[in-house]
Amino acid sequence: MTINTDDPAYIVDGVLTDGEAWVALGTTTLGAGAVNIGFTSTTGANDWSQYMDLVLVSYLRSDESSQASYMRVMVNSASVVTGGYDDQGLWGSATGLAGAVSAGAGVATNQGIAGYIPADSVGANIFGASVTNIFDINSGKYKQMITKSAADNNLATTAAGGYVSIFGTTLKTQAPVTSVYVSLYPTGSDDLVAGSRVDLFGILPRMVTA
Amino acid sequence: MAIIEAIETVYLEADVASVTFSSLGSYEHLQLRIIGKTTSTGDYYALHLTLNGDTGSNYSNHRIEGYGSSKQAYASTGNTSIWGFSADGSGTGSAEYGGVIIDILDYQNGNKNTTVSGIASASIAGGAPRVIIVSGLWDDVAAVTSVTVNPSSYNLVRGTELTLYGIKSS
Repeated sequence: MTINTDDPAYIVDGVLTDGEAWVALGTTTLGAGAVNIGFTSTTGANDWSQYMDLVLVSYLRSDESSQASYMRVMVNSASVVTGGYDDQGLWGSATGLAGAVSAGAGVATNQGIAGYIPADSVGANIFGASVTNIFDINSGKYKQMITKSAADNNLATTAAGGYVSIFGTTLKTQAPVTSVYVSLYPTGSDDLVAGSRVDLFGILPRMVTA
Repeated sequence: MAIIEAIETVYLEADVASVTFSSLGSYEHLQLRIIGKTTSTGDYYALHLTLNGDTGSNYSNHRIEGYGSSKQAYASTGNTSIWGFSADGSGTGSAEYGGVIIDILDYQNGNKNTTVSGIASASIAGGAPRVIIVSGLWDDVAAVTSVTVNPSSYNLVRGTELTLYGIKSS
């Protein structure tokens, strides 16, 4: 794991300057299977209280014995939060070369369902690409997330599998975001496999005086 | 050199009819990020996007959205804005705002019509969020010099926050 705790680039000798709007906060690439990949606010550039939004860029695969696993993004706790989340998904899936569009929702669920991850039954070395945006992380608003996922499969070698999806996920808390965890749903005996990685970015606002 | 720079953040201290960004800087692309709510009494309401102040019937839209087990697709043309980026309405709880990301590509080019792409997720009181993908076309080759967001006949409410980012090439 790499965490950026340097002095923020927008502070030079104690003076505020125009710095990078997107700040790389951390990177984790798994060397062995793990239940989740998590990040926590600390100090310096990795003090999340200075950011407007967070972006998680994830490249993941699970060892679940299926075509795909659910991806979940948990905020402020890796553990379930009873009734704490709502989610709405819109996804395309494939059986052979025929596509289908579906939608599904979860209300007052215990975890932040956010998309799909290729699993153990898809071709070797196939990982899924996801980008999660978490909005206004230091406000008293509920925490709203959008995740775009590409969990494709090689349809030349298998007749099933593959998802493209967008999920909206709400964590019903007014507390600031201080940690995030990317994992499978449900957690249990299945892991994110070695080589799975997540990069975390913080996005700064810019208050302009007219 | 920063690849992505924050151009301007607007935080609403009071309800307003619209927000316009008119200093767009010199970048390859723009990204507008919104956490928003409107005075519409429903759970959600579409934000409208106009470019260069053009309110003529020069816009086309495609949109797909999911809510519950329902999914719908819409298409329309001859519109006076690109719309469908749903933020929350005032029918939701006070802490519920919708997240929207809109990408405006190659906005300085004076030889191409401008196509924008967006995603949105509106939090719904007591229910699942509504999730939306939007594609919109401004049928004009002019370079984009201003971007306006409004919720049609409603207002954007206090607490709504919009930030415009500029994206450079490498």
